[in-house]
This record gives sequence, C-alpha cells and structure tokens, in this order.
Amino acid sequence: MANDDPFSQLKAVQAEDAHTRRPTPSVQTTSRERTEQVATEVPNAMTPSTRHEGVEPAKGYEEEKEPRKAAGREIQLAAYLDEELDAFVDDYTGRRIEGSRRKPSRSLVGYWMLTIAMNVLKAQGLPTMPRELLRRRR
Amino acid sequence: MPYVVAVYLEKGGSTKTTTTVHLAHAFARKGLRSLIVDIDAQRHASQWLFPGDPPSLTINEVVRKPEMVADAVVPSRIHGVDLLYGSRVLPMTAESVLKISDDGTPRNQVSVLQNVLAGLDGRHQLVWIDCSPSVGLLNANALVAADHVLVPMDLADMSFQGLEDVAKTLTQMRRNGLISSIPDITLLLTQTESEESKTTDEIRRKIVGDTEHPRPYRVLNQTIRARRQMRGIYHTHMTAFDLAETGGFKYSHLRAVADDYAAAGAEFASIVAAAIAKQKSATEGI
Repeated sequence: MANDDPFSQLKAVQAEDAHTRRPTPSVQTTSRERTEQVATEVPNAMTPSTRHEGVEPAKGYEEEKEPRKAAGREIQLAAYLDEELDAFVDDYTGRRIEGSRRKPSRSLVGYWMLTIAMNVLKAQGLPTMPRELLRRRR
Repeated sequence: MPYVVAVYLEKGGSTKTTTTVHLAHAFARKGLRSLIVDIDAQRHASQWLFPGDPPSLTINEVVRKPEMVADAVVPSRIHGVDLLYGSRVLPMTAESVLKISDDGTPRNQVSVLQNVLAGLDGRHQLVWIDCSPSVGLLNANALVAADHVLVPMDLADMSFQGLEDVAKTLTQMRRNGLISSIPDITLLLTQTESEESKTTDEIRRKIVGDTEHPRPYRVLNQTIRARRQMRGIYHTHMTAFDLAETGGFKYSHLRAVADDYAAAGAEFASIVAAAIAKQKSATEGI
C-alpha cells in the first residue's frame, strides 16, 4: 500500500470494503435453530491456519478439510495449549509462588552452607578434606 | 459494519479498561472513530470517560431493546470516542432477560450483543468491548460479536492461567457451535518497573514462541511499560495522551506510556487492516 501509516491503511481498507462479517443471526432465532444453522455452517467456515499471516501453523492447528478431523484439531489445540501453558504456569508462576511461601528444607540449607564453606576454604587455599587438615596439623 | 474488538481476559486487574480506553483514543487521534461498549458491571470505563450522572439509556436497556442502541450511544470526554454506558445490574439482566425476549420467545442467548452492534448507525470504524473479568453469558456475547480478541496481560503473575482460560473458553464455544470459527487473538503485554528483566525476557520468549513452537495467537512487539504509573489516572477522566500533553510537569512521566500506547495502536491497526483485507479476499475467492 502506498501509505505507510497503519491507521491510514486501515481507513483505506475499511472504506474500500464494507467489512464482511460472520452472518448476524436474527434476534428471533431460537437457540436450537441457531445450533442447527451453525452445525451446517461450521465445516465450511473453518480456515484457522490462514489466520496468522507469516506464522507457521501450530501443532494441532493445521488446516483440516473434513469436519470430523477438524473437531480432532480443536481438541488437539486445546490439549496443546493445556500442555504448553500448564507446564509454563508450573515453571514460572507456580514455582515462584510456592518458593516464596515454603521454606527450603533443612537438608537443602545444609547442603548450601557446606558448599559455600567448601568454596571459601578452596578460595583461601585451605584444605577441604578432614584428613588433609589433620595431616597439616601434625 | 465496524470492526469489533473484545478486550478480554478472565483474570482481573489485567488493564482491560486502561487498554480499551487508550487504544480507542489512539485510534480516534488518527481519525478512526471508536465506540467503547462497557459490559463490565464495575463500569470503570464509563465512569472514566463520562463523569457525573449516567445517561438515561445504558447497556442494560439496550440488551432488552437492541433497536435503542443508536439513542444510547453518548459522546465521551475523549474526542472521537463514543460510549455505550455500562450498568451495575447488567449481569442480573443478562441472566434473566437475555434468555427470553419481550414476546416470550426464547432468544439466541449469545448473539444479543452482536444484534445490538448490528443496529449502530455506521459512524464508528471500531467497536471496543470492555469485558468483565469473568466467564458468563455477557462475555460469551462479546466473544460471539468480536472479530478480534485483544488480551492485555502482564509478564509477572497468573496471567498465563488467564491466557489458558481464554483459549479454553474459545475452544469450548467453538466446539459447542456458539462461534463458527475462533477469532483472531492478539496479546498486548504490559510490564511493571519492578519486574526483573531476565524473568520477563524468559517469560516473553515463552509466550511469543519461536519458529519451532509457533503460537496460535499474535503478540504485539510493543510492550506497555510502567503500568504502575497509570494508577489513579482514571479519576482524572483523561487519558495518558491528554495528561502528557496538557498536564504539565506533574504528568510528564506519562509521556512514555502514551508513546507505548500510540505504538501499540499503530501495530494493532496494521493487524486489523491485514485481517480485513484477508477476509475480503477470502470472501471474493468464494
């Protein structure tokens, strides 16, 4: 497009085309009618993988032609998100919140202290094994 | 028809209202008239942009009688942004009224808001629905009406859970036939000063994904910085744009925030333009 300003581009696109939308069901449509209507519309209306320009379709987000497979895709997508984001939440949020509330165990503190002590001794050039220590004393 | 954006996250305090107001203003500043539809019972967007007594017609009346929508739209404090004022009792109305219409026939519960927006007078290029932090009939209505779902989320807390819930809700709605396809989803990340850069970088990388792990949503490159500075801005009945320009030294720190929202708005505008163009070519192709 000639104009680089995205707002002008949007204006131009909107002016060019009275924006096409999903069909608006009438107020009088009953839920059952709508469900039936959607059930027939849905298989034709699915083009999810083309939605995100320049992005490869995610796992479970590939375009499927048959409605049966497409339903599977939806479940895959949900599973994918569940899996990915569950792990994510555990990794970052869960651990952080738990970590701030729960004290580290004593053995862990002991291990840390021992490690620090060893490092200090090493840095000072002092013996870190008791046997060595004893030998030096002699 | 205007392009409908639902600003949605089931988690509270994720800056849905702030994002709605600022992006609507960012678009209005560039000549794209926006309408904010406040379906949050807290009606913060309404009180922010329309101080004083509420107008005689609010969203509560409009969901009962969708033909009244044009009369219920009021100009807000921001030039180029109109408002459909929210209502405290809207969730209760939704539970009772949305199910049965005046003549006693059962309504299609989830497309009432879509019908309401279909009755707009064509002055608006964009409609921003400020959703409530919940799952329910009202938000389902917003998602059915939406061409695009914008998810504002921060990088530091339980927003990931919220993002997962958004995906679940949309997938469920799609599976139940309430929406025919999952609308485009775009994330707008916000960040507080106190967040460690290493953690946020890691989290951001995880959210954005990479070529091997692409995500089924888009993430705006522009992050909104310094969320904390926005606290209390709502009581001024102005936006960061106005305050940074006219508020003097007291509000000069909002300049960066205003710039962030302007850049995020521009990025989102290009995504919307591409989406409309794609939709158009798809329908022409058929």
